[in-house]
Parts: sequence; structure tokens; C-alpha cells
Amino acid sequence: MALNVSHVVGGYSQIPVLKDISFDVKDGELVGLIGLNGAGKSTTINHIIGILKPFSGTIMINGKTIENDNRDYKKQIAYIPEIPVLYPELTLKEHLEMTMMAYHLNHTQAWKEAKRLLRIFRLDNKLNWFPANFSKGMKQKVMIVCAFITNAKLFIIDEPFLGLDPLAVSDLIDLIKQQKQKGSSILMSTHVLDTAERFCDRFVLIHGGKIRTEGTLEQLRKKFPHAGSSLNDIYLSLARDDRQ
Amino acid sequence: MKTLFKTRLSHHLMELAKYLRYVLNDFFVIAMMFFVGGLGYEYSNLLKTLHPGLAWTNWVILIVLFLSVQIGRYATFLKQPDYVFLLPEEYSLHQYLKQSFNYSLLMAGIIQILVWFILLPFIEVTNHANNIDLISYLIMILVIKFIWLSSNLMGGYRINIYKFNRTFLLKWLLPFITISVAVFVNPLLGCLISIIFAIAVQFKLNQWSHSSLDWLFLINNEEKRMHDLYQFFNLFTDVPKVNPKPKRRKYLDRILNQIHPTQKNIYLYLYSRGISRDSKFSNLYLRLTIIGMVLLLFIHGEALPLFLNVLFIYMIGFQLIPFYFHFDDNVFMHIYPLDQTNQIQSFERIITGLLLFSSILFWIVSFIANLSVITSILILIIDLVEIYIFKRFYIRKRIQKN
Repeated sequence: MALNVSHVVGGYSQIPVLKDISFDVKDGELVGLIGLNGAGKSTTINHIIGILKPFSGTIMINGKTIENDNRDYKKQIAYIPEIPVLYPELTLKEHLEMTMMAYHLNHTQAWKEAKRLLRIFRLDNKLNWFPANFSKGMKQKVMIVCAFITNAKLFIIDEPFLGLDPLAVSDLIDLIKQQKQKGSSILMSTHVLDTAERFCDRFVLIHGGKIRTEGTLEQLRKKFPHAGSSLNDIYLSLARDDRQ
Repeated sequence: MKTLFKTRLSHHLMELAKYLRYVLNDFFVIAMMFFVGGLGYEYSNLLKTLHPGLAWTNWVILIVLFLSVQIGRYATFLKQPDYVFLLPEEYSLHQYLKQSFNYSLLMAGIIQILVWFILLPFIEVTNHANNIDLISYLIMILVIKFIWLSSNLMGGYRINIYKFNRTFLLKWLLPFITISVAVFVNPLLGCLISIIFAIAVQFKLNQWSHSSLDWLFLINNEEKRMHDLYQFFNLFTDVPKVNPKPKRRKYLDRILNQIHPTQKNIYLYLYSRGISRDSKFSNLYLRLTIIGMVLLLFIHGEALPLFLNVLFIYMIGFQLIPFYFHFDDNVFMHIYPLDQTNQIQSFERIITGLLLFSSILFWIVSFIANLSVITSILILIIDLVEIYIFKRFYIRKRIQKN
């Protein structure tokens, strides 16, 4: 079991945003975390990456928790934030080196992989620039390259498609598939449901800080036979139900 | 729109008041009083030696007046998101711009009157000027300031005149010619010329005043103005809005590349690059080092240079310590599987290196200033001891306190 979230209650202050959340991501699985704005997707992710501490409940990555083994827990994660987070005073090359140092990567190998990824995202001629001055899409690409050279066991990707050009979206999907084949697991939060529908293995629908439902597209269709056939239809009908 | 300008203006004034509290602190006010008093005394002495017919005095009047009309910029108080949120209101923004123009003219006018007032006795003594001449000077610089600011307002309209021409003509050439005429020919004539130009400019402005607006120009202008203002306040207190961009400083790469990107060097790598490129901390370091060097160059003696050496090294080190927490806001510092045991050591090494570099510079300067072997040996020993204590005990203590 790559990621196991069980009975997590948590939030930013005293008031819980997440109300008893449980789900898991199995080895080599790509799980889509789906929800409206403010549903608790990013809060869930912030708990998994350890920015927030749950009030109660446990989060485990391959059997490790933050409490008993912080370093091993975090070594397994690669995170792509929704809003790119960059060092204003480091160049692109130095961002990659930071990642390599942090994850104990073999530099020669990691650079080979990095060069390949940089070429894919057309960043290979910008190694000595400050990515903090890039456009949103290009910053996002920097975050993607940094994450995908890590060979982490669990990728946590928050809204990856916003701001990316169509070519980059398709390249990113390819990269995710390759990582899956290598055995990594991916948890991805997104609003872009038709893209998610095509290549996620399973979906976790989160609403109002609770898990509304989860399962593969087939299972969801069976659970809500009148909602429609696409993920979009099912999700919309559930969200509308909850509003009433 | 009318209320928008009023709220923006009151916000601006409130902000100014907030920062002026720091600028006009007791020390600064006392220092300024001495400074102004001293200058005033010198000025009155100078006036006693002057008489009409000196060749250079008219040039002084020309230069002072020309420079004074360059002071005071066009303040619009526009903000970055305005071009999204006020876009549908663009038409009524013309009125807003007019209001802000009047405000800017008032502010700049006060400066002009002040300069004119200071220059009054000078003109009177050197030119035997009568009252009409003196009033003509005042009206002329006010009118020239009006034209000067109009040039900025025109820049906000989307009309096809080249920016260079506009700036050059209205801000440089026209003031220069008019003031020259006033100084070398006749003040009243200069005044009349400026009024004629002002009428022409106002006529053009009326013609253009309903063309579309160049938002980017207006917003960039305003941001640049506010940035300069904040930069000034930043000399006295911390201004959160001044976020100077990091500088690439490619020439330092050779030194920085000495640190090999290995796991154990990660903090060394990060801190060295961060501190040398982050504008705030590197400027702080440079500023203090340069001030220290200048002071040491002019100070002779035995105990005083020694004391200054110790004081400046302490000040530099003390000011750099907060950089330890510089990367704490970055999510990845908490996500990366980092070994934090050598974080403090790495930071100590960087600070020690910087302090050693400054102390060598101080030492060289003190030696040049005093040319005393004993003093310089003493300085060297005490500096090294200080840096050792700083590194060995002080940094860690300060960091753990936080």
C-alpha cells in the first residue's frame, strides 16, 4: 500500500476542514482526487506532505509515518504544488541540483534524466536563468522536471494542468504513465475531469471535507446509475445533490 | 470615480504618515536641523560676498531652477489589478486622472515655491531684480512644472507620439530654453513664453482627453514611483513592500562553484547562493562594509579604529543572522528529505567567510589610514578573536533563541 490515509481529521486552525477522511493509493496506481473549490483537496494534500498535522488519524506511506520516520517518509514523496514554489535567488540549474542533493540522487544519472525532461519541456536553453521570472506555465514545467527526476515512490500532484500548453499536458500524462510503469504511485488533484477520466485508475470524490465516494469509473457508474456515464456527469450530479 | 480618488489619496496619505514617523525620528530631525542651520549660515555668508555682474551667478540660477522643475512626479495611485477591475470604467477614469494631476501639481508646486523662496535673495543680490522679475520667475517655474507633468499625463493616453520626443521636448528642452530666456534676457519674457506653451499643451490635452488609456504605462509609472518612495523609506525602517529582485551576479559563479553539490553540502550550497544573490542581505552586507571602510579611512588614533573594527564586524554578523530562516517559508524545505544536522554549521561557515572578508578590508583600510604596525597587528588579532567567538558561540545562541 503506497499511501494510506485513515480517519484523518485536520485543518488550518482549530476548526477541522477535513472530517474523518480515509482512502488509499495502491502501488503503481494513479488516483484522482476530485472536488470543488474549497472541498478540501489541497488541505488533504498539505496533510500528506506534512505541512499540516492532523488533529487525529494517521497517514502512512509504505508503512512509514511522519512521527516515527520523518526522513524516510519524505524521501518517498515528490510534490508538484498548484502554485509553483521557486527560490527567487536560484537558477534553473541550481533548482535541479537542489533536488538531486535533497533526494541523494546520482548526479550523472539524474542529469541525464533531467536533460531529457528539459528537452521535452523546451527548457534546456534556460538552465542559467532565474525560473522565478518565468511565466506560470514554464514555472509549472520546472516543478514537473524537478519532481520527475526524483524517482520517488509517491507523486503528489496538485492541479497539474492549469497553465500548461496542450503539448505539455500530453507530455506530462506520458511521464505519469512511465512513472506508473516503474511502480510509483500517483495522487493527483484536479478539476479537469475529462482528462482525469481517461487515465486515472481510480477516483476519490471529496466534498465538504468528507469522502463522498470512491472507486473506478465502472464502480461509480454502478453506484450512481442515473447520474450519467462520464465522470463529469456523475460528479456534477453528486455536487448538485449535496448542494440541496 | 470621484470617491475612488479620494479613498486612494487618503490611503496614500495614511501610508506616508506611517512611514514618515520613522523617517522623522528624533535623531534624524536633530541632524537635519544642524545640517540646514549650517547650510543656511554658509549661504548667508556667501550672499554677503556677492554683487551684480559676476559671470557665473546666472548659470547657477539656471541650473537650480532647471533641476527644481525636475522634482515632483505625476502620482496616479493606480494599482496593478486596476486594468482588470477598472477596465469597464475607463471612460470615467479621465476625470480620475485629472484629479490626480491636480494633486501632483499642488505637491510639486509647493516644492517649486520653496526653491524659489530660497533662491530669492540670491537673484535679488546678483541681478538687482525688482518685484515683477521675482514674481515672473515664480509663475514661470510653476507653469513649466505644469507642462512637465502634462507630459506624463499625455503618456497615459494612447496617442502616437514618440515617448522620447515628448519627454525630451516638454521635460528638458522647453524648460531649459524658457529658463535661459528668463535668466539671460528677461524674466517677464520667459514667463510669457512658458504661458504660451502651457496654453498649447492644454489645448492638445483637451483634444486627446477622450482617447483610450495606456494602462501598462500608467501602472508601471506609478509602481516605479511608489517603489522609489518605498526604497527611500526602506533606509529608515523595514518596508514589506520593497521586495528587491535577486541579482544574478554571474561573476560570483566561479567562487560559488567551489561548493560541490553533494548531499552534505546542501545547506552550504543554498545559503551561499542565497545570501550572495538576495538583494536585501547582500546590499546590507555591502553597505555596512563600505560604510565601515569609509569611516575607518578618516579615523585616526589607536583605540578608535580598533573599536570601530569590532563594532562593524559585530553589526554585519548580527544583521546577517536572520538569513538562517530565509528558506523556512519554502514548502520544499519541509518536504525534501533533508538532514538538518549540518544546517547551523553550514550557515556559520558562510557567515564566518563573509566576516573574514570584511575584516581583511577593514584591516587594510585601517593600516592605510594610520600607518602604524602595532595598531594594525592589534586590530588583526582582535578581529580574528571576535570572529572566532562569533562563530563558535554567538550565531548558534541567537538562532536557538528565535
